[in-house]
Amino acid sequence: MSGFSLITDQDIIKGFCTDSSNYPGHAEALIRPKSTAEVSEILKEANSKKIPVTAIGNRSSLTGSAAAEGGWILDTSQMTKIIEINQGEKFALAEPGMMLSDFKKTILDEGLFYAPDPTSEKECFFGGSIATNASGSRTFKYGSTKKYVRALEVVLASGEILNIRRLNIEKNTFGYLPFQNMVDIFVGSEGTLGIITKAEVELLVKPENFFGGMAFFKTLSECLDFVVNVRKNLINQTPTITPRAVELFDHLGLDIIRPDSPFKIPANAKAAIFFEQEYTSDSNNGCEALLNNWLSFLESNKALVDDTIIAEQAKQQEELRRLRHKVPSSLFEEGGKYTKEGGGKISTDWSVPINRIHEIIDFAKKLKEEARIEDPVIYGHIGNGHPHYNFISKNAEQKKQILEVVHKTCKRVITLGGTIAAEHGIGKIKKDFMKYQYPESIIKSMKSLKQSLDPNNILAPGNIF
Amino acid sequence: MNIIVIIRQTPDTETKIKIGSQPNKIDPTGITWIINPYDEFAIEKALKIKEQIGTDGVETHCSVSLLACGPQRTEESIRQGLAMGADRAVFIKDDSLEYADPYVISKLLASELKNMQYDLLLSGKKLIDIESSQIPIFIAEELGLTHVSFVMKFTGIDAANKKITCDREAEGSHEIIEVSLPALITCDRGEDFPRYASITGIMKAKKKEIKEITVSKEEIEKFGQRTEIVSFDLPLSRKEAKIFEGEIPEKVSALVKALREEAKVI
Ligand SMILES: Cc1cc2nc3c(=O)[nH]c(=O)nc-3n(C[C@H](O)[C@H](O)[C@H](O)COP(=O)(O)OP(=O)(O)OC[C@H]3O[C@@H](n4cnc5c(N)ncnc54)[C@H](O)[C@@H]3O)c2cc1C
Repeated sequence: MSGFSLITDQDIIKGFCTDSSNYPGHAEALIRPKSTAEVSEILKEANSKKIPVTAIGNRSSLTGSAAAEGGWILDTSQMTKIIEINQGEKFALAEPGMMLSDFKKTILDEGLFYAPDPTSEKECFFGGSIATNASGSRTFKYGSTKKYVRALEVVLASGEILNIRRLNIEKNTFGYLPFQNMVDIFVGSEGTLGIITKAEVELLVKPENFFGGMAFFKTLSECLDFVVNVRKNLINQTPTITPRAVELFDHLGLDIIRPDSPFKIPANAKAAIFFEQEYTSDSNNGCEALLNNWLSFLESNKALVDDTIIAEQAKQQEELRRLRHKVPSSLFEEGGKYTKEGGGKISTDWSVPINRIHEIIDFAKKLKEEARIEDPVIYGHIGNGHPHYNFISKNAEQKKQILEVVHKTCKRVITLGGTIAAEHGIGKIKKDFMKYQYPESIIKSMKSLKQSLDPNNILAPGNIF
Repeated sequence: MNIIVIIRQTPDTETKIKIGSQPNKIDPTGITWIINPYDEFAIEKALKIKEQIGTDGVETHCSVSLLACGPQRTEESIRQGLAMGADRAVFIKDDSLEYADPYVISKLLASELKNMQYDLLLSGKKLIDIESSQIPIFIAEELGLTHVSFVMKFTGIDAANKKITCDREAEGSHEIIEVSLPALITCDRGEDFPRYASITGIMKAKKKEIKEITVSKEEIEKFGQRTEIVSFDLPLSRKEAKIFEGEIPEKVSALVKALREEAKVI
């Protein structure tokens, strides 16, 4: 037998079989490689015996993508080195197993900035965030993880170690567009095409300073108008405000954070926007000028200005982010109470172009009222047209009703030019939705890519297809 | 009722302190300065009193002023306090006050307070940087005022009869103390979250008065330092400990999970 060791004690393995979706997985063994060579050796052996291998990061996935369907679980948590932080060229090269927040903190301590910021950054790995093309509140300004991945070391199902690099050129007509930047094939591939063992990511200069804030609105509709106007303002030649994050809390989201909010949430607020705005010492983009602009912008967009709070201190800014995280994490707990009865949390991940946001929210509301299901909590990355709807179903019957509504909404999302999975991926629980987004022929071509890179279908089987 | 909150600026609690080129100074580069957190609790308590007095119908007037002394950078913290809702501020500004000892600072503040009108003086129970609780108590002594320390909350305010009731946590018990005003009280956190400044509060704060007082070197020297910082040493680093909360069965399974998934020893 080879040089790696398999943990086969089911008591231990059980602890690694599901993820934050509570999807029930199972496996015969757990392996914790420490190097690329070891990963390659494991895959060679697994491939020759046709044993499934599911890579896991910190299993914060919300789609069952990290819940193995048999075979071996390949835990990346022992590969935690940051190999290089290059100040001159502004990149970092690292192994996948470090907690994303720790990775970002190390970068920040070096005076640089790694932009991707999924809400789960304290509970997901650097590698996991690449394998899912994670995004977060600051995606509003900075884009998703994909934009920052410069190069990858990937181990294919055969054990072959591939080193690929994004081309740093503006023009290219050499080959099919989706293949021109090979890196993009693996970013967000949810463990199905190869195992990421190293990644080189682009870093930015640390933003000089920023303030956070929370603005309240009397209706959800006025709050959405505000968001649409923020985006309109950004297309101006000289936008007055340039937030890096624009996140929504609806009235139920506000109810979740109210009990331990360190600031007053006005009783008449039915929605709120959490925002962050960077500023510099230059007077045009200075704190005072921007606060003035925010005040006029909020006033002209019907925000409850006297209740709008500003977080200037680091601990206050951190507190705002904690409150933002509290919404999905407490709903996750709430949903967990009903899994035994066949219920649980159902969360949507669709997004639409911002100018269609009113339309889709009205549509979803109408569907919900017709189906007489309970109100979902609506929160999240509204600046990107990407609110999460979280429903809690108490039993299997309710779950079925809710899923019907979700399916109908997703179909409409497609007609409005949106996507069904903006950041959480497909995993095992969103596979049914693929047919809404892609023609059968395109799904087939995706399958044949998978088939050619992993002919024995050993990598994360059950994910995506 | 006139309330004056005495505030100081301290490095942010998250700051990694580095010792400067001289062993009795800290390296100021990269430090974010904040209102000493206990002084911020005192501001919050003052603003709550003001809100309460505004609604009790007996006396409607209540003003909250800030009093600070320190180098130029202190102004930023004063503005933050004004943005929270304080009405005005007095700032004894001198860069040489950076390392002045608590005795000199209290003398300076007390001499300024002699020119001000107040019913109630509030301050934090201690400074988090030098772990000192001396300044407010020296001030009380200098002004001949009653003082109550480490107050968690005020359980009663009688503005008409100039009395205030304080709840003070003592070893395993609460002491309820009624004091006649004027008095000086040092504040603990209690149940207070210092309020976040509102955007309108920040804008208004820019227009609020900060009366600047300059002091001469002679005046400062006249008081005479009583203590001197000889050197700073950083504490020895300690390994992080993790404490599990909850019922015993919950704690045990959380511990086992952590041993498996985080420490990876089982
Ligand atoms: C409270 C909460 C909030 C969340 N908020 C966000 C958010 O704001 N934005 C967002 O994008 N997501 C969010 N998520 C989802 C999730 O955290 C992200 O998808 C995250 O990037 C997953 O990282 P992970 O390390 O936990 O990976 P895992 O969950 O362990 O794995 C996810 C997928 O990646 C694959 N994978 C992991 N590591 C590798 C590797 N080295 N090579 C190849 N494949 C690999 C796995 O096989 C699996 O398919 C949230 C989750 C929770 C619980």
